[in-house]
Amino acid sequence: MGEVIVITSGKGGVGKTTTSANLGAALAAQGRSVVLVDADIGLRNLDVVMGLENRIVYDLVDVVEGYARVRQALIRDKRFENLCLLPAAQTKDKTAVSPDQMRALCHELREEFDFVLVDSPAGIEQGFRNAIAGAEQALVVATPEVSSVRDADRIIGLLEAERMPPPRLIINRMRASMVRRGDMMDISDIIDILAIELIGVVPEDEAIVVSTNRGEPAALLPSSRAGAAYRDIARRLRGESVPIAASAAQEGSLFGRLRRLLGAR
Amino acid sequence: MLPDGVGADALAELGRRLGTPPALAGATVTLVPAGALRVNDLGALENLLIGRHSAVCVEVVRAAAVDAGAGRGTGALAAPEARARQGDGRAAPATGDSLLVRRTLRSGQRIRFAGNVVVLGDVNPGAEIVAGGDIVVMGTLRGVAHAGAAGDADAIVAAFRLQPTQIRVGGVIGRSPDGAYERPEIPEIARVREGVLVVERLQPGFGEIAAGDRQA
Repeated sequence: MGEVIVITSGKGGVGKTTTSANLGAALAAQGRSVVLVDADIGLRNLDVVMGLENRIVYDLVDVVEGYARVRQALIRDKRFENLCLLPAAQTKDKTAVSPDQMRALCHELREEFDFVLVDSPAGIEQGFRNAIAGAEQALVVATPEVSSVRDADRIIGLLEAERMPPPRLIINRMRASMVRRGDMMDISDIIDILAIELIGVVPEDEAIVVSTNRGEPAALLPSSRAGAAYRDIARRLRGESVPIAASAAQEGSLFGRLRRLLGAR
Repeated sequence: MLPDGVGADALAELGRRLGTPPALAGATVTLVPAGALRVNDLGALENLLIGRHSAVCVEVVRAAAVDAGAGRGTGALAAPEARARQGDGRAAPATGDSLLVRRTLRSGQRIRFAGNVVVLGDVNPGAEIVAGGDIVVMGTLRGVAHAGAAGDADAIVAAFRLQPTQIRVGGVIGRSPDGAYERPEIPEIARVREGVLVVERLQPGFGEIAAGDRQA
């Protein structure tokens, strides 16, 4: 029986879909069977990031409405036998699916896969409710920005209200040089507010833009720093103990902290 | 409306009527006690509503206030009973009731209570506490706190780390400075002095000093 993990954030554009695609690819490369579920109905993206857009026949809404069986709608990845995508519908909206239907779908998928990764839409409305309905764990993605951390905090509160176990945090698009200068929130600032377990820090990396546009997850590129961070997160999801790299976890130099304290900008 | 005091029977009945949990996922529940609501009753209600039925927030307002203000803004909070002076000259709390919140309030969560509010945890940015009496945060206050919401200018806001977005006491509003500023790593207390919101180091016995000031 597999694990159902929702990847969510509240705020848009912080890297939920990129994170879903990369964790899926990394877990598959590490030998686990994975299905990626795109729960962002109406704003389908995950298929593009995975480079599988041209293979879609049926989608998630077809499955929950009974027009297609899950097996027919699943798209096998071109690189990994053990990685599948269940695409979102592009022509419907969030109201096309109910939380109960998502719960049933996730239950069915976890019978066959080690990991069911659900890519949540932005926001806290029905789309979010659907995405978390079948999940038993959550990963919250936040960038080191005040607005993103605020939205992540809201999401964590909503997940707590659902009686889910405390979510784990991925800090995305970290720029160590800016943190060193005291110009960006550092990890301890973020953890201070959110008070949840950190499962990984992904550095800002231009390779992500290139790989996203090409439909090749950066987690498969040995040279990409972000890719390496995603591979580490995948290992932590599998229960391995992997230290968070010291460079990524840079907590800001003493000088940077001093500057901020003194109000120098 | 709740009857005076909440017995075990009444709680069980409420649980039955709510049906299968979580019946209140994401909801804000407003309690309107007809009489005094004891702290234990409130704890039991919170357990039921937040713990079992996933409500996000439980507000407590006074029946009299709802009759008068019908739940709009802070108007729904009752005017506190006059602060009674105790024998030693200390000011008693605005009302007899205090609400103990044993968790961190996250963005979007709101507590409204006619008496005092004590939080064992942080109050994060985007969270809000509106209290008829005093507010004490045993953690970091980063959100909005409104003490003495029914107009009591003697109310206080205290926190282990006071870094609020905004503090209001009675009708006086204070906010943190724009841009970077020094954040002292000590417990602090905010109160109104001569019509201005003042933040000071929280010292033992502040209550007596405050009472002396008020009498002067």
